[in-house]
Amino acid sequence: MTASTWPRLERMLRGRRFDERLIDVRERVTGVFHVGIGQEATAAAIAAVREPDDVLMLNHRSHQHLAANGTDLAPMFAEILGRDLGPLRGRGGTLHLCDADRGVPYTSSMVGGGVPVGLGVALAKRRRGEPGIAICCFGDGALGEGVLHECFNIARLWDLPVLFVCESNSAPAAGQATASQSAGALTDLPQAHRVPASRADATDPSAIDDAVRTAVAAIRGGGGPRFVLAQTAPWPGNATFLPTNPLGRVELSRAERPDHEWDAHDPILNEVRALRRDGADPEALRALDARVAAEVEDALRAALDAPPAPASVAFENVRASA
Amino acid sequence: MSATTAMRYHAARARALFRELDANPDILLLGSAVSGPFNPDMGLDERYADRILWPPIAEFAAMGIATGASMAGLRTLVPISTSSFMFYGWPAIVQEASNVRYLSAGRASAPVVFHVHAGHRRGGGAQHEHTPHAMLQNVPGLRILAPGTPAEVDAAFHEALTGGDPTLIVDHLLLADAEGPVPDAPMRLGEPNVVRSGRGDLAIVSYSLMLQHALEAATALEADGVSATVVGVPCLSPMPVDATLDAIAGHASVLFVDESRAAGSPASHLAAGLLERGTGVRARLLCTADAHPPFAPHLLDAIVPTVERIAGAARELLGLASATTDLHRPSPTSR
Repeated sequence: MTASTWPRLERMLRGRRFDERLIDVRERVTGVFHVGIGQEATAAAIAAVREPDDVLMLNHRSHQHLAANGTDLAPMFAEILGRDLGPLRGRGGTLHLCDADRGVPYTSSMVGGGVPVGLGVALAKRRRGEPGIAICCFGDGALGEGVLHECFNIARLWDLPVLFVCESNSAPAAGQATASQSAGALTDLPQAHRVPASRADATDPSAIDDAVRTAVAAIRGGGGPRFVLAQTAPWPGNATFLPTNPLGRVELSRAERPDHEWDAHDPILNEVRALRRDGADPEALRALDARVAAEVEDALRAALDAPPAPASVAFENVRASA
Repeated sequence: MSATTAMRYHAARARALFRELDANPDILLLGSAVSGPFNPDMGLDERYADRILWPPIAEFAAMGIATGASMAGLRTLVPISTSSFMFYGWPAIVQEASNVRYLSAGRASAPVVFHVHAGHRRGGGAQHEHTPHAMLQNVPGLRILAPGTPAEVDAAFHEALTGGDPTLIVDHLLLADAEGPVPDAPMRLGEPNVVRSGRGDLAIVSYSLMLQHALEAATALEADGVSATVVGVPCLSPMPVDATLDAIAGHASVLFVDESRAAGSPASHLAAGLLERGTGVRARLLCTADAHPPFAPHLLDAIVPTVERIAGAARELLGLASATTDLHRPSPTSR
């Protein structure tokens, strides 16, 4: 099966099993990393509508997006572990994972930093008459940065083909991260610049899929920028520095027998519940999960076995020429 | 040798930009203040209206958008006008544009061009007279071009708008009327530019406006029997340190003149290279004092390298005058 025909569950499981195993080997990672656990449905929704000419500007929390888009998992592990097999040969690490073949040429990890860059890509595409849109993903924290507001304004003024996706993983209170925003709802912020905005429950894969599809169709139809607020429930393992996994590996059986309050907000368990309601064979779901887990295991092994890059790599790609 | 045309700096700048705009329809300007707030208007808005977008006053977004657009096939030029405004867009150049090639393993690049008027334009005061190139020479991945002659500004626009790297053009409003020959084919800026050849008494090394000041000082020094060589270094990053030191080899004394403050300046980088060569050359840095740029011209003249101060520093270096009590020089106790 090719990436474009993967079922949504597979896109999400690739991210989840990847991040769970990464946390297992966290002692081997230099520095910090961030996982996308709980946010996989948004990633799957975007991956499902992404066309080859689209550009995806990700951020410091990118694993789930790349996994959903079909990026090979071994180079992802390798980059995070600082090995030569990674796309940047260990020069970028988790913060700068990229996959130029899947619309991710470059990843900025500055909060909000990649958003204007995405607008620029969209501007160039429109001005040159080329297909494709820019999809800019950022967390709710980025709405505290002035550049986001500059970008809403300019995207509307110039009618740029841009999708803003705010992946909110703060506790939702009437749709707002109350600790850091004075706005009544996060969607008020783009709407103040007349960027149409919608809010979707990103713990419900169908809901966020609908919201992203609707917004992207409007953009491709020439309607200018759109904003989607993808509201998740905070996953208890996230931390400022290294995440832990207090809930353990999420077995699909927890769809029917939850272990923890958060299991009700787990987009993967919600997808399993929906598939089961539609009559899916639990054995087939378990087999899919086992296949993904094996892929992740092979990828981790390949990354751990990969050598470090030679020191000369540190001097490459600094400038076009001396 | 190609033919040359005698031009003023501002006319050479306009001709160069128009030539590049005509040569490449993918060049897009975000803003149009290339001639800045005070230089003769080059007629850019009328002539190339369809090649200019005017963003709102939002430097981070504008510079970031220009960066992204340059990754996707446009050649974007952002005329920032007074260099101070670039600080609002600092993340776009320091964090985004400079990193695209490196953080994509060369799969992407961002050959965006930022143009600023830097240095002390007089009357700008503490918030409008900065030397950001001294800060940005610490950022890998950028090219920083600081032309000081009509020929150099001609080449700066050519190299910036045809090269493969994010590039900062460090312009100076007070260069507008400088005259000089401009070759039909742009010169190369990655090498030192010997603009005056002397007998070997003294070499003055500089860039941007200070290069013109150095030429004037060299003329004044003829009355003292000094025949000074003057060398421009129009590419500050990556800086051709070895080639510049080669160009002044054989000179017994070297004066580095820089409108930046000495700490972390292009001049101090060159001087460190000279020190490492261990050639026993007498050398001195003449930079802007560690003080804010005052508004009143006579106060500004107390802190920046003026023509008179450059000539005076040269005389001291050559033993033709005793050290002055110039406030500009830190006293031993203040170090």
